[in-house]
Order: sequence, then structure tokens, then C-alpha cells
Amino acid sequence: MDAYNYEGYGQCDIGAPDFFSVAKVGAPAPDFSLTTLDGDRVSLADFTEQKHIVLEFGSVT
Amino acid sequence: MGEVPPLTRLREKYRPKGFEFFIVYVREAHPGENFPHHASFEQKLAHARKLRELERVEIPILLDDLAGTAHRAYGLLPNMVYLIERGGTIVYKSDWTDSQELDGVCESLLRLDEMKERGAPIIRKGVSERLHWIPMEPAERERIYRRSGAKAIKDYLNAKGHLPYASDREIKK
Repeated sequence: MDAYNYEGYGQCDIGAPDFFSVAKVGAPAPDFSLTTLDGDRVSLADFTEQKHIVLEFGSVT
Repeated sequence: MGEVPPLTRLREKYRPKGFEFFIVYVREAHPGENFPHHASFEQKLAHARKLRELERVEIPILLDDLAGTAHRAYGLLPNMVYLIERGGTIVYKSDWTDSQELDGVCESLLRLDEMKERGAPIIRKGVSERLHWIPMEPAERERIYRRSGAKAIKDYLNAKGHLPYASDREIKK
């Protein structure tokens, strides 16, 4: 079974980080490489040079 | 994720003032028959496109990888939100998107920009910690869970002991 992509809500992560122990306020935001819906790769650093960034996490469910 | 319309309004308000908004698409929080857990990146991409279509999302959606690398780095919660200052420092994080509070913290970054622009001699950096409360519409929650499928509702009921759209009063009974 894939622990990250759980099949049903309630199947908890083993060793999941605590929200307030990672990516802390005042610290550098962890860089990432993500994919746009058009298939382009983008990194956080592409944007933070010029802009303030709001990141909202979510899914369709 | 948090409701799309309030976030869209915030984006419209702050985008002309040097902000950029993104939705990071992560794992399914409540997998159901219609939107099961992701078994491939292509499936995750299809779900993200469906989200854009169903909620008419104008905010650019960025997909995390299948293993959830970025999601993990930011704390794995399903509806969390971050504000990152130009230059890359995290100035705000919340475990659940509260658009009213987010509006306030974006405002405070604007004030910082203004202070820097007029050359304020001393800018003291402070840190806050607070609780906040977000009202939720039972009907809206029911809509999202039903869209995922009966399995999503059943799994929530099994895990929490009440329906995802039960009111606080009903839960206390």
C-alpha cells in the first residue's frame, strides 16, 4: 500500500512530520519543483525573486 | 482545500500589488469512488484538471509529484496555506485556509513594502501566534464529499464517528 496516497481517509501516515516543526515562519521556504497543468516545470525560486507568494494546498476532495 | 471564491477575490486584490497566488495540488484528502487515491501522476493531473473545471479555478494550479515531496516539506496538511515574502522567507502559515486572516497578513506585507519604499528608519520585526475560527457551511461540505463518492463519507464517519457535514451541535449530542 502507498502510505502517502492512502486509499481511504483515516489511514494515517507513519512518521508524518508535524505541521509546525517544518517550514517554519521566519525560515526560508523549502524550494520545490512542481508541474503546471500544461506540463511545464516551475520552481519556487522562479517567483520569489520578484513576488510575494501565497501557496494554498489542496485537492478536489 | 479552502473555498475557491474568497481566495480568487484575494488574488484579484493583491496580484496588482506584487503578489502571486498558486494552488499546490496534493493527494486526495478524501478519496472516493469518483476521485480515488492517485495511482499515477497522470491520474493526479486528471484530478487537478477536473478541479479547475468543476470549481472554475482561475488561480494557477501546480502539481506536486506522486510521492508528495513538496507536500511533505510543507507539513502534509490538506488545506494549509503559506505566505512567502519576496526573497523567500515564510512570513505566515496556517493549518487551514482562512481567507479573512490571509487578507490581513497580505495587508501587513504591503505595509512592509511601503515602509521600505519611504525609507522608514527602524522596522521592528515581530512574531505572532494565534487561534482563529473558520465558519463552514454544512451544505458546502456535503457537496464536496458527495462529489468524491459514498466511500469518502463512510471513511470519514468511521474515522471520526460523525458525518463530515454534521453541525457542531449535532456532534455534541
